[in-house]
Amino acid sequence: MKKLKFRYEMELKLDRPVRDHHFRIRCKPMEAEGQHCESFLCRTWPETTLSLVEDGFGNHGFAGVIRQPHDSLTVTAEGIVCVKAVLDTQLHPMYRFVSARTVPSAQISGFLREVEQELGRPVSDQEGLLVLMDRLHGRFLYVPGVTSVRTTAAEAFAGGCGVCQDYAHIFISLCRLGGIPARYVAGLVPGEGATHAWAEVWDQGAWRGYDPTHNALVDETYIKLTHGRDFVDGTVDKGCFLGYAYQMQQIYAKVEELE
Amino acid sequence: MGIISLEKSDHLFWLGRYAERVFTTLDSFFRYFDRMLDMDDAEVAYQSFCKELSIPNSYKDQEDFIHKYLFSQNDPNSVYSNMLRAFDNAVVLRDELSSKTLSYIQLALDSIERAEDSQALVYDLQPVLDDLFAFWGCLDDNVEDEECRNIIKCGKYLERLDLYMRLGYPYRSIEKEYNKFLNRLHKIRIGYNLSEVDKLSEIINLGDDWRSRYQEALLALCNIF
Amino acid sequence: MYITNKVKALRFIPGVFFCIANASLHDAESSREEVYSMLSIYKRGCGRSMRELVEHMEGINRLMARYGVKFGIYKHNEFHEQLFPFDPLARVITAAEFAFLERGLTQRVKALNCFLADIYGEKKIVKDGVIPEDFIFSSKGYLPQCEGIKPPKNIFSHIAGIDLVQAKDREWYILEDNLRIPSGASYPMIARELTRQASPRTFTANHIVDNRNYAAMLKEVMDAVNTGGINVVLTPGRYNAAFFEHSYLAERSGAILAMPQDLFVEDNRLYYRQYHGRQLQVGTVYRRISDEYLDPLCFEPDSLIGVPGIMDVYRSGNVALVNAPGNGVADDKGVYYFVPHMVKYYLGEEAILKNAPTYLAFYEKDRNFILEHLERLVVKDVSEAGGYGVVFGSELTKEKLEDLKKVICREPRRFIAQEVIDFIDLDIVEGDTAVPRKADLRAFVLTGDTTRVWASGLTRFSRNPDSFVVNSSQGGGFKDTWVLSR
Repeated sequence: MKKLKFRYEMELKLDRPVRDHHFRIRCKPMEAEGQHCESFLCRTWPETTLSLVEDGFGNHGFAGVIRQPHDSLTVTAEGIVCVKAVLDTQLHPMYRFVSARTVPSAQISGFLREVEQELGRPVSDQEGLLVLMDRLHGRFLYVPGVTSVRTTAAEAFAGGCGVCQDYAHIFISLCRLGGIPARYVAGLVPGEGATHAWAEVWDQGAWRGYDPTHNALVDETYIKLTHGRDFVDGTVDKGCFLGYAYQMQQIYAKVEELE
Repeated sequence: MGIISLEKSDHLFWLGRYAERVFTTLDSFFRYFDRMLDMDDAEVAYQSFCKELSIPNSYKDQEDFIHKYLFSQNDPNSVYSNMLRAFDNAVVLRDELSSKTLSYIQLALDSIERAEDSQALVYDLQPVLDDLFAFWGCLDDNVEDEECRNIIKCGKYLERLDLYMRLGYPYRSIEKEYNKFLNRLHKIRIGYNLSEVDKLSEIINLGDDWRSRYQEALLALCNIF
Repeated sequence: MYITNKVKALRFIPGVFFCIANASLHDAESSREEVYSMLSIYKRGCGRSMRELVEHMEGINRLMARYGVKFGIYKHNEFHEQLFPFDPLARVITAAEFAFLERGLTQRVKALNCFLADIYGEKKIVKDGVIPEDFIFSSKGYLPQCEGIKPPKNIFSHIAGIDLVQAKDREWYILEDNLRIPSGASYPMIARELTRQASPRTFTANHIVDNRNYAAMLKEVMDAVNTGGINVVLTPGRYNAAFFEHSYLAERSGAILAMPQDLFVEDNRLYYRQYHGRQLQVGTVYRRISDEYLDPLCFEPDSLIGVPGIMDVYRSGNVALVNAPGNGVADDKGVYYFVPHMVKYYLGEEAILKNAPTYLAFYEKDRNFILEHLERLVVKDVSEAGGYGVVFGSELTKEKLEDLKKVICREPRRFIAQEVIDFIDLDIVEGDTAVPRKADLRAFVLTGDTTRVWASGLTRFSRNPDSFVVNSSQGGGFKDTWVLSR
């Protein structure tokens, strides 16, 4: 078991004031078997009342609204979380089927066939999945700034490079194509930087985390925030407001191991 | 209904204004039209009409004026355009006004459309005035909610006052309409500019001399909301 | 992901009616004559009372125009409003026939409601293997955002529009279920109001159940699920195809017609903002905005017409949404096949009303049947809606048939095939004569504290003799539907 201290900051800057700003933030570590939040504190600026909300995927979050004109929104959250490898044994059938961002292209299914040929069998167990992850990691380059939040698995794979979100999308697409349920996870990992994304794959009665960006299995240092079919369902911050404004969003996350 | 959103109050107010604008301008048009029949220089008549209403004289001649001012969809100042705007505001208010009340606005609109090729304008446009009268009558009879009626009438009397002042109606009519307007204004819960109301009161209280401060009065009226 | 909700520039969703994909012959036929004879027929197709209505047609049309009985369509990206053509020859349903339909429709809608509660809850029907999960969780109508929501009184399908046709053997067949935003009830409602004015004798001479109680039924439904507050009808706006209906139903049911900007969420409650600033809590929203535009924070983030946060309020049980979001999973063309199974599974009864005989390419046995008999079947793509993706085998060349077979084998989940039903045409007035045309019936089934079938319905017909499409935007018209009281 690991005890992790984390901090999450999000700053949204707007070049002119907006109003009636509704937002939903889901930066609280998920309460799950194997993951427990010992302390948690979340603040926004401008200040507003936050109400606890839940969605159809089982994610919890805070909803708030700022009505008066404002030109920035800052969210800071910090806390301490204990993680044993997260163990979730609930399989929802929706994770078997393609979602908007993970529709496989001919290229993606071709790649799956290549790996299956190499294995000499379908990718059906942990061994096969590790090979699949390894080959994807070898094939796809980590290059920030090439893809966006709207990029699909097929687009990213065709481009050959992207960020953690794209790795996760492609891996999920490959798994589902091979008949294995898979889902998208947004979370935090040790160190400083942005939020991270990985995949969870259904393996013999439980979900197991795979991090194709780092070509590694998810361990006790990964803090899980949300999950869903793909990025869209697992979005950490989401909002909408009235007004015309250019926006710039900055995210800073930091996780340290305690003891 | 008595439950009115900001947007609906806006539509009510403007429905009142446009319905009144159609009514009063059409009514005045009839009088001008009648005068035009006897005039050697008919051009002068319609030009002064435009001037009083502060609408640009973009018409070729009298014939052009009559047709476009009444029926043109492209002329934003035409009676027809104003009727369309009255309709646009009314059609989203069916639940407030009732289908019955709303139907008179539809009828008035259809009446204008039907009169377009008329050879006897006043005669064929009379139904528009009838329909609008029926609309106001139906509103009073059918719409229970006072607040709704107050907002719409506030728009109506504001518009009427504006037009009466511009079109040179006698002082007594103006004073009468002003009082009707004030009566409604105090009953609605829309913010307005008190100092402008005071200024307008002061001018109207001058009696027949109010006309010496004609421009100021129009400005005050338009600044109330 | 952050999105800008730009002010104004609303997006409008043109209403899509549907298409009847059934063929039929044109001969006059005895069972209809029987029905009309009950209305003292002495002239073919038009009884005395019907004739009276025909004579008053001009007057009726004038009244329709006066009350603005219109629907909007988009042509070249411009909004136009048109009168919805009305045919005075009503569809007549006898009391016995209606009693039968009533039982069948009530049963069907009850089962569909159980199905929706099950799918967004325990999913027993899937676990028990009655419906393969492919047909549910990969359906476009299934919304995972609605997982686990228990709507007030556990009602999902408050207002169902079930489309039926009657075959020549007088058997009724269900064409499709509409559980999202079925529209059209206002038209027969106002048609009745106006025909009664224009031709009062017709209604004294016949025993026709008054259908103007629809608004009261609607109000009962809204009141039954109300969580405390006012009832509103939420319209996307004036430029929606069905705006007339939104405003008319609001007026008649005493609900407030609300635009999205009139509603807002605060402290997990939904409010209506009045012009002087005071706010009123909303207990029921009869929303005429599709699911995906309802809440930009939950569904389509680019939606400009939604109410941010409304889904959270709904999930907390603090407002009722009529109909429940996510109902699309139950009116999917693939799921349609399983409705009789649902009736059996949830209610332990045999389905009273029949589906058109349907084959699922997903099942090998059905697929083989489809491949063998393709030339006489009609094939529908389940991912398409609004009459698209419908192909008649009889209209295809040999090569095209072979191509279609290949596609079906490649993507069996995507296709269903149905027997072509030879259904009864209804007479419509054209000039001085009556001519037969394709028509269907949309029955409205309302569920509040009880499930009730409205004793009327929207009968739509195609004005083009060769067309199966009764779509209002394609020049189709409507008739009143009379249910006889004895």
